[in-house]
Amino acid sequence: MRRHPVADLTRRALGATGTALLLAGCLAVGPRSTGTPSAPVSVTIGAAAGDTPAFEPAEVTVQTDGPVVVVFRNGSSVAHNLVFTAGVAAATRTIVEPGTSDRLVILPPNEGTYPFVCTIHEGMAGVLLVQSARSGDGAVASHDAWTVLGRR
Amino acid sequence: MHDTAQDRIGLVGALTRLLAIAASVAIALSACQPAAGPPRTITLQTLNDSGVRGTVSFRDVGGRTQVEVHVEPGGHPDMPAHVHPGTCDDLTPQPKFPLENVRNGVSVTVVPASIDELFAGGLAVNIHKSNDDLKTYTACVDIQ
Repeated sequence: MRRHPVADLTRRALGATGTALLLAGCLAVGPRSTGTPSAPVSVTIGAAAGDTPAFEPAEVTVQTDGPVVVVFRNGSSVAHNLVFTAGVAAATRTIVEPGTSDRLVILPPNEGTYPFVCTIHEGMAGVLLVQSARSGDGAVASHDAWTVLGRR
Repeated sequence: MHDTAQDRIGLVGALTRLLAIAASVAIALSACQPAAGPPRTITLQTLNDSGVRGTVSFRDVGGRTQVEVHVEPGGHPDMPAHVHPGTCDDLTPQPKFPLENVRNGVSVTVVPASIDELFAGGLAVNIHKSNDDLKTYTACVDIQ
C-alpha cells in the first residue's frame, strides 16, 4: 500500500525530533556520569547602598561539588554588574539597574577562589570561595567540560 | 430615473474630492512631524597603542539616546565602555552612564538622556581594555 506523503513526512519529523531529544538528554548527563550530581547551592551577593561601590558581602564561601546559583541583587542607587574574571566565564547583564537583580548558574570546575568584579566601578571586587562538600577525605571536585551553565 | 443617475455621479465625485482632501491633509501632517534626523557621530582616539579604532554614534530614540560604538577591536574581544563625566584628559572615574561592553567591536546601549544633554559638554566615552583590567584605557572621545 502506498503511504500518504504527508503522513510519511510527519512520521519522519517525529522520528527526527525524538532522536534529537535523546541526543540532547545524553549530552546533558554525559559529563556528569561519574558520581552523584550535587544539588545547586544558592548564594546572594548584593551591591552596598553606601557611596562607596562595593559588593556585600565581598567574600562568599560555599561548600559544594555541584552548581552554584549566584543571585546578584543591586540594592544601591546606581547600576552595577557582577563579572567573574577567572576560573569560570560568567557574568550578569552588563547593566543591572538599581533595585533589580540578576541570576547566574555556574559550575566551578574545582575547589578554589573565583574572583569577580563590577566592570562599571573600578576597584569594586569580590571573591567566591568554593570548598568541596566532601572535604576531609581529600576529594576535589572536578567537572572538566562543565564550567558554566548560566549567562554569559 | 435620470435625476437619480446624476445624483449618483455627483455623490461619487464628492467622495473622490473628500478622499483627495483627506490624503492631502495626512501628507501635510506627516511632513510636520519632527524628524529624528541622522545620528551624530564622533571618532574615538586610540589610547595606549591598543589598536582600537572607530566611532561612537548617537541616535535619538524618543527623547533618549541610542549610543552605538563600532570599532576595530585590535585583539580586544570584550571591552567595558562607559560615559564618564569629565574629558579624556581629566576623567572622573565614576561613570555617568554605563554602556554595554564592546564585544567583537560593537556596543549598543540606550541611555536615559537626550542627545542635547549628552552634547552639552563635560562628558566623554571611555573604553577599557577588559573586564579585569579597567585601569588600562584603549580609546576615548570627548562628546562634543
